[in-house]
Amino acid sequence: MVELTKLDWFWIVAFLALMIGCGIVFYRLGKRSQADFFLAGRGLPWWLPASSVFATHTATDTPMWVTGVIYEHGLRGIWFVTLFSAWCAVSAIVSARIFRRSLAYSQAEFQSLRFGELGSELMRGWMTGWAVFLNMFILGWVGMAMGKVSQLVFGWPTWWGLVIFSSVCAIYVLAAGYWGVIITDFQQGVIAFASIVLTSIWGIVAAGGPGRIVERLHEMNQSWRLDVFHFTGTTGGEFPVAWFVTMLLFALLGGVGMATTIDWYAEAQRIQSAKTVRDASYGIWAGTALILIRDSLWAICILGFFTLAPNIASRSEYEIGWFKIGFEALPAGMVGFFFATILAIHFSTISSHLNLGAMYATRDLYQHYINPRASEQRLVWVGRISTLLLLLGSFVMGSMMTEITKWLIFALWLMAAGVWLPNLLQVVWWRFNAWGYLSSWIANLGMSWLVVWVLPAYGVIPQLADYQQFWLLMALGALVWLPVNILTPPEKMEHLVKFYVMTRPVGAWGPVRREAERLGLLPPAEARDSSHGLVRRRWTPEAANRWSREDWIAAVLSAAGYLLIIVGGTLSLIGSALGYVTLALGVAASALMYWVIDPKLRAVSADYEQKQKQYLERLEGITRWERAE
Amino acid sequence: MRAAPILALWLQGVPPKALIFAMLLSYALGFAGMLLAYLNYKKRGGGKR
Repeated sequence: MVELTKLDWFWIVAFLALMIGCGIVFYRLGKRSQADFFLAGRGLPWWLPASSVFATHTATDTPMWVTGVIYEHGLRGIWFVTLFSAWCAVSAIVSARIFRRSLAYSQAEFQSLRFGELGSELMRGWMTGWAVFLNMFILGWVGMAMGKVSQLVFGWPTWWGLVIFSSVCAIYVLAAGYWGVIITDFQQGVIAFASIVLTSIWGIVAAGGPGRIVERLHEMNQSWRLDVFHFTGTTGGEFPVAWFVTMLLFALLGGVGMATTIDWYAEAQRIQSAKTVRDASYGIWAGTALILIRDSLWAICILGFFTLAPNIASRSEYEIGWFKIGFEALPAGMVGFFFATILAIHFSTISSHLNLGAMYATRDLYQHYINPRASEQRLVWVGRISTLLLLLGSFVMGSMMTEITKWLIFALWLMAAGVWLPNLLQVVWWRFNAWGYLSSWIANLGMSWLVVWVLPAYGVIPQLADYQQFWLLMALGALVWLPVNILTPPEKMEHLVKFYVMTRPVGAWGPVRREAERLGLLPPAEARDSSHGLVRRRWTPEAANRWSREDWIAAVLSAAGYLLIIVGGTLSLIGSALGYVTLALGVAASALMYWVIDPKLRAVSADYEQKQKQYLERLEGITRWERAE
Repeated sequence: MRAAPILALWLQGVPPKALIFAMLLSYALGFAGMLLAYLNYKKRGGGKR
């Protein structure tokens, strides 16, 4: 247990009052309509979704996960964390734009736009059920991590921490919906970032500073821990080159598609809540960049923790290293602030997933299948009831999760492996149809079980490394979805034309584009004007709506910027000259990315805002019930 | 192993029972969503010319 002073309690109570106060203040905005309750009226400037991306992906279990991999692997452990975020580098330039233009609330709804007929409905129904499960599962998982922290601080049984803090968080989500989520996420993001910087610097100083940490590692014959590329071989060991390459491809190419990681669901909501395409792109780019900076700080702090306590054998003990630094190294009076920070990172994740899961239940289940003519008022209430049911479900899920986090991460990653390529194809290939996509999801369910547990248990195949399982599952999945896709007819051309005109997807859409041009819905493509040079800086909305060289330059610079920032940031913190140079290159690549893509995004958004205005006028028309009150 | 593979693995404790519960729940909700989608499609006369 941790001793708390009056000042500590002041920080905790003040934080809780601030969060619940936001629920009360934004109650009226949240209840206006479904679009307000789930997307804050689609009018947010980029920095609000950005802070929400950062806050949502900084959960109570995140410091445990990061501490675990850095303690075990040294600085190369940053890749286990970073490569799950790197897809946003490309997604910010490519798939965020496509998804934002679709105006779909959720990825399940996107299925109805991309595909047609029965296949699209089945796909939407499947994805809705899956998303409701996934959000409930994450709520239980993160809630249980809070239970463990509460046990450390107050000595409570773990389920107390799970139930009490998730329930307090639910108050403002129930009251104000996504308005409550996004406004509190901003405050939580600021508190969490400031506190992570403070606590990590405090921890680094407690370990004797960067120089002393490096010295100690040399003395302990643990210098390899300072190498971010300390591979264990080409294909073998804990950190092979093959794993790194697989994950890099998975993340960077995955950014072209949708739902290539389990994170996409939360990003999708933030993309739709931004006021323009430009705001959506910068929102997820900047939010993820903050995550990279956070990871760098954590990494060095945990390395310092390792030099102080190098012989902890139990993973469950060293995983709470960062929390221990906070509770043991910070002075009295600041411990409460540190606990408020933990509440901030907990609430930001819980609130996001409560609202996101409720959105699927309301928009894709209730409104689409049960009551399409429901009033906006009723939809808001269904949203609230769904939020409450998800909260209760998360208690059941959380109470079952004690020692299985590692398994569950593993299982979810595998569930994503077989649909990774289909997730891309739904965006980049016009001929990919609903039956191909649906069969890939169904096939992957069975195959992931076979490849991971059943076949190795019977000695049919050896126990494979996770990256090998990824490639095998992708190949086996293709053996199912590829024939299904080819043997079933393509989606109807009029449906594809509508989708194409609305979202302007990237890739192999030639026949659909030509049909749209033939129907007069799009002007014929113009030959590239060579007077613009390598990078065009002046755009008309119509020219900006087409994919061009500038997009690919920006995507490459964005990915390079992310990778250089994480490596450079981490090495800079241990005083490496190479680290400073790498970090400077990362910042330069990011600035150049902005210079290349910003004029184009502004032109896209100018055109888009016109369409958005019409949409919002229609939305206002259907929210008259509130004015009639 | 005489029991069915999944059951046998469950009895061995690999993977944990809670994981099997979570996996089955995800399948159940996914298929329930699909069933609802199918019934709704038929109700609206989908597929008929």
